[in-house]
Amino acid sequence: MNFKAPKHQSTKLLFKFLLTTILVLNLSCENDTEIFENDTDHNNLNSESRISYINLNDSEILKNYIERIKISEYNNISVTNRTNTEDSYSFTAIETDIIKIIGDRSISYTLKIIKDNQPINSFSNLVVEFVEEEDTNAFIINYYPSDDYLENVSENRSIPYVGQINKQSIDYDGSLNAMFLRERCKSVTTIYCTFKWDHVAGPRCVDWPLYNQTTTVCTEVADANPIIDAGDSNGGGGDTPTAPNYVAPCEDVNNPDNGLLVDENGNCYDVELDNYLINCLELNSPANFNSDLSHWFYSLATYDQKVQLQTSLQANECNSEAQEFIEFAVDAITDGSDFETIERLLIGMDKQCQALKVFQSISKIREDSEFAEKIWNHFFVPSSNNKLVLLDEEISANDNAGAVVSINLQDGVELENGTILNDVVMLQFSNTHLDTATTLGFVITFYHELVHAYMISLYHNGTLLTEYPTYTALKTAMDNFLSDPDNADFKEAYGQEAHNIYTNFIDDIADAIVEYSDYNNINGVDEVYAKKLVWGTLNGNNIFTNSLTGPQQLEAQTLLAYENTNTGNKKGTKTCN
Amino acid sequence: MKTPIQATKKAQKLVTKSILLLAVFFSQVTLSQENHLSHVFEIIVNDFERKDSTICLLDIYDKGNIKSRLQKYYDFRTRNKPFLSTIALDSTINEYYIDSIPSKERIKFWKKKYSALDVSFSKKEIKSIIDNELSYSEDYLYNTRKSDLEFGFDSGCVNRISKPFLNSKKDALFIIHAEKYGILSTKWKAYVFRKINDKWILESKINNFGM
Repeated sequence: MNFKAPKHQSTKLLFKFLLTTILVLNLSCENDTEIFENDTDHNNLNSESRISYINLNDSEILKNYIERIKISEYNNISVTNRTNTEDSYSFTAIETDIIKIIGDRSISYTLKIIKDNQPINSFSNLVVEFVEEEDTNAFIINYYPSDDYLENVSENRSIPYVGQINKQSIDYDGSLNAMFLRERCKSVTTIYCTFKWDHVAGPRCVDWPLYNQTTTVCTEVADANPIIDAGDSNGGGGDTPTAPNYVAPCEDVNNPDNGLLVDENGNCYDVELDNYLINCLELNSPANFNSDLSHWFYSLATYDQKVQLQTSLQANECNSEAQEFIEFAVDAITDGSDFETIERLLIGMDKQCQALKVFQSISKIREDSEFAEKIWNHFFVPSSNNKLVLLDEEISANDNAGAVVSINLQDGVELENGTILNDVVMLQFSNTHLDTATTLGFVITFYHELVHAYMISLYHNGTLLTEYPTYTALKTAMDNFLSDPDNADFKEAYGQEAHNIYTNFIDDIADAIVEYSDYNNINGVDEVYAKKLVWGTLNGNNIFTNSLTGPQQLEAQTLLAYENTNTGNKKGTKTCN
Repeated sequence: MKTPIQATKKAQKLVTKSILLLAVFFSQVTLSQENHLSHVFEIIVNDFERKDSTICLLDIYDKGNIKSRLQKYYDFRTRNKPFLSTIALDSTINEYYIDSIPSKERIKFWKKKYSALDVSFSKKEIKSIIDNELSYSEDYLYNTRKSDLEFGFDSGCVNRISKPFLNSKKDALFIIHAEKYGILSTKWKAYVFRKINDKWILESKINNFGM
């Protein structure tokens, strides 16, 4: 995937463009929009804690209301367990992920609903408003996105909604005949959050300015499923309370026998199609080293993308050129994100300031530090298969450790896209250390632990002796310790061997400390000083006492203690509370 | 040098002893649950991956970590705050940031993983455990005052378990198990039980509790 032959660049870009245009719209029901009446356009809001997600059981008043509409006029629940109202308007209400908005005089709830014959790519919400001293107001808002919106939302789910909107009034108390006597037009207001970019506000938007955008909806419909040209948009501008209910090809009611299946995430799949691609691209072959391609295929690829790839491969009889072309195509897809996530580095630290600092201690200097570059390439690059979790934990004071790395790997850690990760390296900082040390102090600890993490990762990958052929003693110590972790001798031997190898890393770590200090304007940390700090991290191990004289040991301990306790002649400062 | 048979017998003896000790200690939780809780701990002890050691109470550091992990569960349940965050690059400003907004897939994964706790314990009950039983004095420990039996506090102990944390109806409980590899790592598990027909039934085992 790193092959960058110039002759393929234009092809890659072209294919990226083509594939982007045929991306399937994987639009889940993101419910980040709110609707209520009579808000003024573009007023700044101060509505912290006014927006929240709830389930039906969290609101007695809403629950009671829903119960009332669930009782039919004849006190008889329909055989499908739907309410008379739901039957009358041909929809089913979803009782989870309800958006609750507290207004000055009202509380409104937005429920997702699914219509019996929901037009493809349209979606609808039921809005219920409880206004002080007024009748309860309920209506359905139907959204018919424009083609442009559907095209663009596949790449950015937060873009403002564009398309047609209409409403249907709901009369829950039985006076259905009055439903069209209500006001003709209704204002549909969306609250936007300005965090990062303007997008529809949800309950998590608590520290950023909000503003309203209001659209007047004057088209009232009686038919639950009006046929409307989605491209004939003249009244949009609001945003989506829920995302379009995209209907995948495998769910096409007009083609129920298409042989496609739907997985638990609502994505289509076709066993024959998958098998063809697996065989052609040799995804299950031991000789397949293209982890990006496998990851994309098993975790990210949409049904339509797979169909396009199959078409291309079949046209070329699955020859090597076609295979290489596919690899470029997948590369183009996977590296095309504006918000690239480092998926294999997971942060379980409550102290997020410190978490970002330790990450930046690698990311900011990696072009100037061999050590940082090595760690970056091993753990951080998106294409890496090596997984690292950072935690902050309580570590016993008796152990006097600023951080520890688990030699045994952790299974069952879940990834951003829902994939379950096994063989994860766990690096656990001591909460006390993060609270006490200068930022330089815990960064030095991080560098020290990263060497352990790197060795443990290589060991479990089976490549420790490939990368470092002379580390046989370390490998033996790891073998022994893992075979009997309760054996104190094995534990001690592993501890010593794990630190003996640092003689090969002291220069590289010291260089990283100097680069980090330069980047952060920390004065007085040159190579000589940095090496003393690195040696300080080895205190308590044989390598420390065997390699340094008594005065050298004392100096190394003392200089590092300044950083670890934020006292004395420390060079760094505390930049996190 | 112990023979494998000797080691096995010793392990069996220790496990048996531990079960008996636990049964005695937990008898003080409620009299009516006396016999049933021994069954609860028998299930947990039998599930230990490394059985050849005694069982210890939690130490003060374990308590801090359980509190932290339970707080993560509470934050997820109440605010959808992720147990684990990712780092993402905002290419428009070329800066990395901690992305603390979980995807729907991750929310779905965690909701399923912790569903047994969701069902059996209210948010208020979880908060109470965090703020009371895991914050003050030694309420997180078993009450061993009325027993003259010695219970493990050894720092080298492999298996440590919390006291049972009960809901207000006392028809559900969870127990945290910490399996130690020295200081090098700890595997955290939660066992959730429900009382059905006056018998405690294991409803869910949550591996990697707090993640």
